[in-house]
Amino acid sequence: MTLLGLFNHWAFVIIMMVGLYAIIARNNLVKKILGLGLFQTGIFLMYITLGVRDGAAAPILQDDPAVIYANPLPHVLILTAIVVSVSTMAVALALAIGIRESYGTVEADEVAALDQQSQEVGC
Amino acid sequence: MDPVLLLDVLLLILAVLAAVAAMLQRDLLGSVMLMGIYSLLMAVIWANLFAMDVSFTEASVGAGAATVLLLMALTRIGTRERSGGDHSLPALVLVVLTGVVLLYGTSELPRFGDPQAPAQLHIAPRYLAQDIGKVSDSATPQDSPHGEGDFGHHVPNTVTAVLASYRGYDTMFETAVIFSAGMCLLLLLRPIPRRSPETVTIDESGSTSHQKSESVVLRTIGGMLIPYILVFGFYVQMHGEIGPGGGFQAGVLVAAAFILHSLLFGRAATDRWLPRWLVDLAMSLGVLLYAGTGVACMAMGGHFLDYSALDRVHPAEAEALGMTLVEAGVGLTVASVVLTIVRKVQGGTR
Amino acid sequence: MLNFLQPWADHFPVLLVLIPLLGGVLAPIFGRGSRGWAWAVLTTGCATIIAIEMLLVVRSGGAISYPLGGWPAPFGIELRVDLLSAIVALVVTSVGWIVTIHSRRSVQVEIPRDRLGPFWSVWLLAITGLLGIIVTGDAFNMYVLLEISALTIYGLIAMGRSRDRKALVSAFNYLILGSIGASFILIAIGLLYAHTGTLNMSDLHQRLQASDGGATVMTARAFLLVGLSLKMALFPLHFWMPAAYSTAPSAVASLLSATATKVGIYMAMRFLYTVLPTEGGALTDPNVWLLGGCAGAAIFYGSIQASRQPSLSLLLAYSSVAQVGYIVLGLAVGHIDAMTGSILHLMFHALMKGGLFLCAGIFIYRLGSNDFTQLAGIGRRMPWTSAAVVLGGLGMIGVPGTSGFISKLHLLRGLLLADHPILAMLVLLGSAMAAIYTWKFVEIAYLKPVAEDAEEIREVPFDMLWPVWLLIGSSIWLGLNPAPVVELAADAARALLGGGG
Repeated sequence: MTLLGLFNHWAFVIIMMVGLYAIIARNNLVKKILGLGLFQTGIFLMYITLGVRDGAAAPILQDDPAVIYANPLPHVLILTAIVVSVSTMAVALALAIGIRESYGTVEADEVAALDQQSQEVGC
Repeated sequence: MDPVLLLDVLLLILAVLAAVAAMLQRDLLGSVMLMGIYSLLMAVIWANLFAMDVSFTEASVGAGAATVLLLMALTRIGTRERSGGDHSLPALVLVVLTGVVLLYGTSELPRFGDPQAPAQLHIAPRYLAQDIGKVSDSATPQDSPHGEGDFGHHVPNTVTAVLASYRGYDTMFETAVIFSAGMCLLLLLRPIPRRSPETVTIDESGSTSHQKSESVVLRTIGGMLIPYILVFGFYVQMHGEIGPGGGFQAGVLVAAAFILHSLLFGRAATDRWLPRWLVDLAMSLGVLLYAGTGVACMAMGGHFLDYSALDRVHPAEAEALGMTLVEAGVGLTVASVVLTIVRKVQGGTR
Repeated sequence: MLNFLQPWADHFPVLLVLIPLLGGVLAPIFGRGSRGWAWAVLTTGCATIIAIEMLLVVRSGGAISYPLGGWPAPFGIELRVDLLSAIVALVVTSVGWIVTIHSRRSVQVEIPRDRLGPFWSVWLLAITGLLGIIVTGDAFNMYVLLEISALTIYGLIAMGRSRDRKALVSAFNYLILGSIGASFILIAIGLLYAHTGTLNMSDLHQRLQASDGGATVMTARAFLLVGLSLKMALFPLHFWMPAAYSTAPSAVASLLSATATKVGIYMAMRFLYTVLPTEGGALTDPNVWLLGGCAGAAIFYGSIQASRQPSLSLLLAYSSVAQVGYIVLGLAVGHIDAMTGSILHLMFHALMKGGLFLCAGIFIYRLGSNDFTQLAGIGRRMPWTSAAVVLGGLGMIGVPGTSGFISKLHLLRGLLLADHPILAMLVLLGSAMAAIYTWKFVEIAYLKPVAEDAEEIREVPFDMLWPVWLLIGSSIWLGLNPAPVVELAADAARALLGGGG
């Protein structure tokens, strides 16, 4: 019990690291966007874990006064954060589509090379 | 061992595997599907951790809307990821460093489910008792019946209570974030020149994106589903105060019904049912309904979003009414923005 | 106070956010086509009036607390406006207003006509987010508003694509970095919540001050510092900014340089002094050295880079990297004079850089770009714009008589009194280097012969010029009559260092 008491936080760190690595190291812009989504869901895990309580029920009030409930506040915060992260993803995808249409590629290094070329030609 | 924790650990291991697989996969289509699986696993994990509303939202927004959006974007971006040249040692060092710092930072956090954790003790109990009481300096009568709580037992779902009332201001901006995303997409994605509605447009990947489906079976069965999705959407909208659900989930469901309709019968047919100007208007109207409810509270002498000001005699009922109104605003904006975003990303005339 | 506003006086903090929000939401309906600009001017103008009134209220009656929904803090979300927030709010609204007024023509040229409605909507929502950050007293609410302003700013920057497709790439890179920064802040807020059980900023501060902190709070501080540095473009996490500011539509670059980075710095002041635990109102030594080191490096690096850039936009962007350094320097040291200097520089820099970026935009409007090769001899063709650039540059240097002198004077005195002579040297060195890059413009604009194809270039119309001169002129005027503003900033600094507002 105590051994795995922080397991959720380890999982959060691992998921976050996988996402962050994909964001930084991957060339493909869509992969970066997916990595960002992963990075953010990792954080959600940390928050939701804060709401968990031994022997609790979902925070929907029942008539029985003996019931104890999980903390609803992190749930609310994460509802907001989920919406924010999907909104960010939508804007990121729109930018990626724009880049694909103007550059013909969504690989970051190829885009950078194309920019370099146009600069050498003299704008 | 606590069964909740056992299930949690097993599911999380699966989720981490799905996440790693999604990142390793070179075919972006595969990546997106794996991310969808990851999202669904997360939805199960949230449910296991007693976060029903988050689970519902993750399933509808994370696994549903986001996956659809990604798939549609891929038809315009292409599904091939070039391999090679994307492993970097500095990135690895940076990421591991961040991870180590975070492991250190979380090492002193309360253990899983600790009832003595600060997060369980300070403000959460009052939310769960729904007995906070408004600030006394306002004109609120002090006769708010004790034992009735803030909402007179009208809102057993405390997540909705916190979302729409205690932290209603956050949720207004959450709606504004969605609205902003919708506006950004209208701004960023240039409209493709208009063609006659029934023309078959075939984009690069060969899929036909906005004419009607040819399969009679699909159209019949799918068409039968649409009313049920809509009814379920309205149920989720209205049920938010009592059980899991609310404007966000309902909005996505309603949008899904219309997206299904336009996939089956063509966009022109959907536009006949739901004119574009109405969708555009609904985006603004939703946020307006939310903020307008708050302004009405101010006009009635309360603070912004103090719903009890709407009816000083029955403050608890007024709270419930205000929450219904703002949730309707959320639903309206979410449904119309999701519809707009999906169509914008799909491309074509709008 | 304006009489008709009297009944609403209690609601000023929320009105300040609500007005641009409603403006942004209604812009697609009321602001189609060319009416959008008038709608945006009206909205930002109303917000400015509220900000002025709010500053007066705070000045006379002390900090305002506004319980949203009528729920008492820490259960509900509290808006909290002290002197610092009122000052920053006024800077953002007023400069935002003037930039909006100026940008009618440049937006018409740079943004496709059928998308003007969404453009002004997104523009107003960006201002909404920034103002919301300033007035909020709730840590998580700040994150949500930060994301609104960020999301809209990504969209605005990307609209530079009609001039240069690079805008898309810089917007995408900014989106990735900005989201990482915001996520780091979200992690930090989560850790603080786990440690204290609250999200209200003053409640957080009290509880953190009372606890021993330990690993959780230390990590939260580290993540906040990284996240905020990304947001305010503090060296070495500045690299998204020059690309973004030089490719964004010119109106957007002016708006961002004057407001967005300032709000990032404001957030840092808030978090470091009124949320995280302090030692008797000051930062601990490692923090001072870390922030001071980064700020010093920012001044040095930004000034050197600025003098090597091929275009006015890039020069100004790197100069901003250096200016952020000055402000953070005063913030880090925590001496009352240094903090006063910081707050003053935050205000003055918004005026000067806002004006300078407007000039850069004017050159783009007339010449299609503001590369220095195009600007040769422009001082004779466009005398009013060029003179404004030179005056603004003098302000960047901190020549006596300009407002930059006043803020740097306070900053220097604070650094010396707090016993940081090396950092004080850096401030002087930075000013000398600012002279180099300002001279670079003078040399090109006045001493070089006019480019052959530039014969037909004329000065821009008056309605583009007067906002520039209003900004630059007021920065000079404040340099000549500094007393009231200095007093205001000193009071704000005292409130901030006194722990909470």
